[in-house]
Amino acid sequence: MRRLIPAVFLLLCLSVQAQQRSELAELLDAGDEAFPRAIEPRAFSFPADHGPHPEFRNEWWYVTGNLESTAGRRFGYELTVFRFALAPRRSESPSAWRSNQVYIAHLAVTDPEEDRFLTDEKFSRGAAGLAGATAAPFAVWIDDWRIADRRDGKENGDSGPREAWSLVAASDDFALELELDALKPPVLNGDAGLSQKSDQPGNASYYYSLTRVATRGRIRIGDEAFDVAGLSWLDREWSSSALDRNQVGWDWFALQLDDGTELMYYSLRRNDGSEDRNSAGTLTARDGSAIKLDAAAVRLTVLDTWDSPAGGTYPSRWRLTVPAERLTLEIEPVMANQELFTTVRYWEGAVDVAGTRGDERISGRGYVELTGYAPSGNDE
Amino acid sequence: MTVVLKASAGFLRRHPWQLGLAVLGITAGVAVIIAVDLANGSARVAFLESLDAVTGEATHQVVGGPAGVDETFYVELRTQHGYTNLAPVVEADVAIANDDGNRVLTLVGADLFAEQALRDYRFNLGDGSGSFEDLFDRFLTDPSSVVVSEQTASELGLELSESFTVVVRGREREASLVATFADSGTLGAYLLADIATAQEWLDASGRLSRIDVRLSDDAVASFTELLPEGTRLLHAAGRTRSTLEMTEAFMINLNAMSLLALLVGLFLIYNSASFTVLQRRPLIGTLRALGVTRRQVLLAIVGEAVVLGAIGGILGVLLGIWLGENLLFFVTQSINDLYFRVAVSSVRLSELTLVKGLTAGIVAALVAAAVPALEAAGYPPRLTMARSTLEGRTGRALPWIAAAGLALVALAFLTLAASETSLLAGLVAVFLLILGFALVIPWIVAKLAVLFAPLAERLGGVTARLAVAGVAASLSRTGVAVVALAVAVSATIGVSVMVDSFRGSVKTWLDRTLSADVYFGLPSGGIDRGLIEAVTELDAVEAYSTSRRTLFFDDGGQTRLIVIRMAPGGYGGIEILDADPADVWPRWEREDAVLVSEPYAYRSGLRRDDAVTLPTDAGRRAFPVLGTFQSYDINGSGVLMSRSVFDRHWTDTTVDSLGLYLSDAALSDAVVAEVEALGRRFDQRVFASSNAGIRDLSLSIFDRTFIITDILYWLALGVAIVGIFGAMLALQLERGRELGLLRSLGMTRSELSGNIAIQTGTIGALAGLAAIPLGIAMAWVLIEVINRRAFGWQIAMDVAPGFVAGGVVLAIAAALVGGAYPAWRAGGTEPALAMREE
Repeated sequence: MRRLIPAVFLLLCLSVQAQQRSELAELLDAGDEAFPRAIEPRAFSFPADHGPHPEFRNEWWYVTGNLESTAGRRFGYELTVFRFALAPRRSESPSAWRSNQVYIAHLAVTDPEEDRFLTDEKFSRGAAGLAGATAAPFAVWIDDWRIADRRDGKENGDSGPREAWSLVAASDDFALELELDALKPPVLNGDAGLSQKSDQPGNASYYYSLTRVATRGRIRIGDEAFDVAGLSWLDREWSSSALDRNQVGWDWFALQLDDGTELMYYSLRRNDGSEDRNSAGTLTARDGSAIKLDAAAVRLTVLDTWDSPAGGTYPSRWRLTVPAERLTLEIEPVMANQELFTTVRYWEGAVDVAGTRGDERISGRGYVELTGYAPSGNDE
Repeated sequence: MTVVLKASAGFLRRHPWQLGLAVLGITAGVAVIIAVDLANGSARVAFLESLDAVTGEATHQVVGGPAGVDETFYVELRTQHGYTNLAPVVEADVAIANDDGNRVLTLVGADLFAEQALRDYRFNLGDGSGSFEDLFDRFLTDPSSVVVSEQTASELGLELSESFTVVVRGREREASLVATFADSGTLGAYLLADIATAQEWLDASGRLSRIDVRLSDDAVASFTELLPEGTRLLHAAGRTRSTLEMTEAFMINLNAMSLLALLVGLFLIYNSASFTVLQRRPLIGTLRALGVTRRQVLLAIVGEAVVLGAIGGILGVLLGIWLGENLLFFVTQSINDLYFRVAVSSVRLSELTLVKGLTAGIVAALVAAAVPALEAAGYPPRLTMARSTLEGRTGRALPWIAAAGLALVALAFLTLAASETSLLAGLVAVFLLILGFALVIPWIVAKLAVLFAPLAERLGGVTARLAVAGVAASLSRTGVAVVALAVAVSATIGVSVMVDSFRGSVKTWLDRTLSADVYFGLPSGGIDRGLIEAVTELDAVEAYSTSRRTLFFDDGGQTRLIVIRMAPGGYGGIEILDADPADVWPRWEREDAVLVSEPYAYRSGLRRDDAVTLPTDAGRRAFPVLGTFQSYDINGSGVLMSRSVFDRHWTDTTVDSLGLYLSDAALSDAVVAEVEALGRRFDQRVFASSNAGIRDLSLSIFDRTFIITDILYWLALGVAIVGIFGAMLALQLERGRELGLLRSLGMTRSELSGNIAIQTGTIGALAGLAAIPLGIAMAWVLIEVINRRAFGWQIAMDVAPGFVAGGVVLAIAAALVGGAYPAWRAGGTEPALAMREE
């Protein structure tokens, strides 16, 4: 069934499979002129920018989190909604189904105790109320998978001024029902939110994150239900063109440390195996202030690898150091197999972090995304 | 045993005609069976496969009233209730203009994203990449994108990425072919477009034709609770079944026709088999004297039959495949005319069909050879029975055989009386009737021949008397050929009388029903309001009627609702069969009540004062039946409702067609032109026609339907001609000495040929006469039993003398054609040579 799925949509955002690079490049170039590009910094405004930017070619709402049940059982989760514009404008039509927007969502739960990694995927046109996003009140959804402002648009409700959202998604075998409360304001990554992804001007996205989001709710797996609590992370990005043809994938880290700080870093890989100089990150302080990290400021070493049973070798343990911050972190997945066989194969999973900041021991949890390590095999 | 086999082979080698005819008989019979089976089966399989492809994994369908289902329900199901195994469908018939007029396809508006859960469409995008993103991209960004099957594309001369015009609800729409279905065979009747495109084209924003759902058995109850008023949940399989059921009667009738051909073929095989046995009497006698046992003789002849049956069966299968490919066109055309869209790309060979054909051939050969084989095994050694003994025996047996035949005829009528509505029982009765008559025919022929012999002498002298008397005297040879011919001719009489009566009834009905002077409409409905207004305001138009046809599917079957706004003088156009029109019509207009068509009433067992339950917008509602009306609508599922009643229970303002009553019928052509011009002004390509035009079109569809019937009975007749040929040839061979004697007595060549010709002509005439009662009885059964049981129609039987006389002439002609070569050959008999032969 899944062979119907337009793999290329996902390739647009999830970096590139080496063998499909040229196809992606063509797609990125085709008709690009009509889509605006992220060329210079813009003024962000919230909650408006939580909503969609349909004039851009692609956009995503990327929520990941580490949760623990009341009995101390560990879980990780991911709910991502992608939006793609197939054309710059929607043609005029009396039909509510007419649309130029496509939505795709990925849902995953990591259950290390049972060594289970559960995933699901959804597709829809952004039309007729089947899938879409709104700014006020904030909501993004496909079918009944939905992330939305739970104060129903009342800005100064009980939950205070920060984002107070609900997240609901159910697959056949598992389900999430969570409340998300941002503990820090949105952090603008890159140059005031303009995140350069390759050398060419315009190959950039607008990128902000909610780096520390208190989360509580319920996870259901099969017939079992768990009351859970923990921290989530939201990545928001939109662009019309990002990667260039020599970039094959990325390793992305979103780490929440127990000293109240967060570290985001993405390492873009070139097809010769080297790290692209546009790799970058952001350090967020306890008070929410952010420091941009460029590639030179971060050293990333792969300590171990994992061979996927389906083929392909992923890095599976890293040392990440930020010398200027005297920060050294070892990052290790909570379980090896957190590979998604969605339209595009990639690895996205919960990790544990341990290390030092100066002389202080430091630990944390986070999420890592690894793309471009294995052929998607979705051609059939 | 080898002696027997050698003797067998030697005999057959020396008598290639016998061998050829036996094989030909089997071949012809088997070929017709295979052909009809293939054509029917292929159409059926094509339909089922296309429906399977279109139904996919859906187990149920949510359907609504005439206006379909509100799309917000679909969105709710997904976004609020978490159902994901469902897909919306917007569907309608559309037309693509090509050289042969309009090619009608079913437009399916689909959401490709939702389709993944239920269906496995595969596409060729033509760019070699086979990638789907192009298709999604085009579907979502280019409203004109459509997909058809490769076959449809090539038939319409369309290339990928070519633009063409689709006529939807009378409006011309620009479509662009972006891909073809990879599996052309199953989706030939479909035109796939994005759901938004379909809604735009059909002017149906906010509405879905249906929602396809895959539900587990446990989930049905909770799903049903969500259904909004005016919608229903149906089994997907039920809809397939009810659609297919409509064609069942049609297919059964075709199969029955093919069996008729085998039956005639069976006579032929019997004929040939008996000859080969009878001619070998001396040989068999000698073999027995040489110590060959009865069992061995029996086995040899049975073995021979099996070999002949197998050879004939294989040849029949091959010929049948060729014939089937040619019949398929007619079968498909009839199904498309009458029932539903089906595109059949090729004949589908099923093993079952092949097995059926081979088995039919072998079994037929065995049955035909059994009697002669038993008889031959019974010959005492060395005794060669005199022909006179044989003829004498045959003559004595004739009354008994005739009595058995009459018993079968009686059984046929008992079967009819005992079975109430079973079509199968009706067909069994037809075959009993034919078999029974077949057994009586030799006796009738013998009596007639004796009766006519003196008459023949008075007319044509001794030669004629000899010829005619010879018929009776040679019945052991010619009897079976006569029967075959009589059965074939009676079938042509029966079917001709039936079709002619049927056509007459339809014509009368059409004349009456088409009471308006001009009709115009759109195949898929939805005439523009403004156009209706403009047309009805034309000076020549005095009154008008409107109609709307809509199909309700139910798990029990389907119901066609015909909604009519009657013109003041229009009531007379509908004949109420079982109630007083003066009483019915005012109630029909006022009350929430309906009339039902005769076939619908027959099929659903409805009577006056029963009720029809229909799914209104406010839920199911029972409408009392005021009476039944006459209708030859082939789908036979009509409920007739007044527009005002309909408007009270459904929100659907669509009008499919209008009938215009003119101040002067002579203005018809002018009004047709005016209506078409107005249609262009409202951007609607309407089909307008005078009532005469519609009547002619209806009758031409009727005639087209019976082309296949014609073909089949001509085939049966062809088989019979071959039988006569064989019988006469064998007779002439056997009478070699007699003919030689006649020649030596001074009879000239042409006199001898004439003698044989008179004899064959007499055989034909007698077969023709014998066929008359059977033909008329068959017509009666076809009209009163088969058509009634198959379609629920009442047809007024009308025996046109022309068909009866034609049947006799046909029989004579067939006999003469079959006897021509034997007669010519007989003329060439050399007196001395022939006398010396034995």
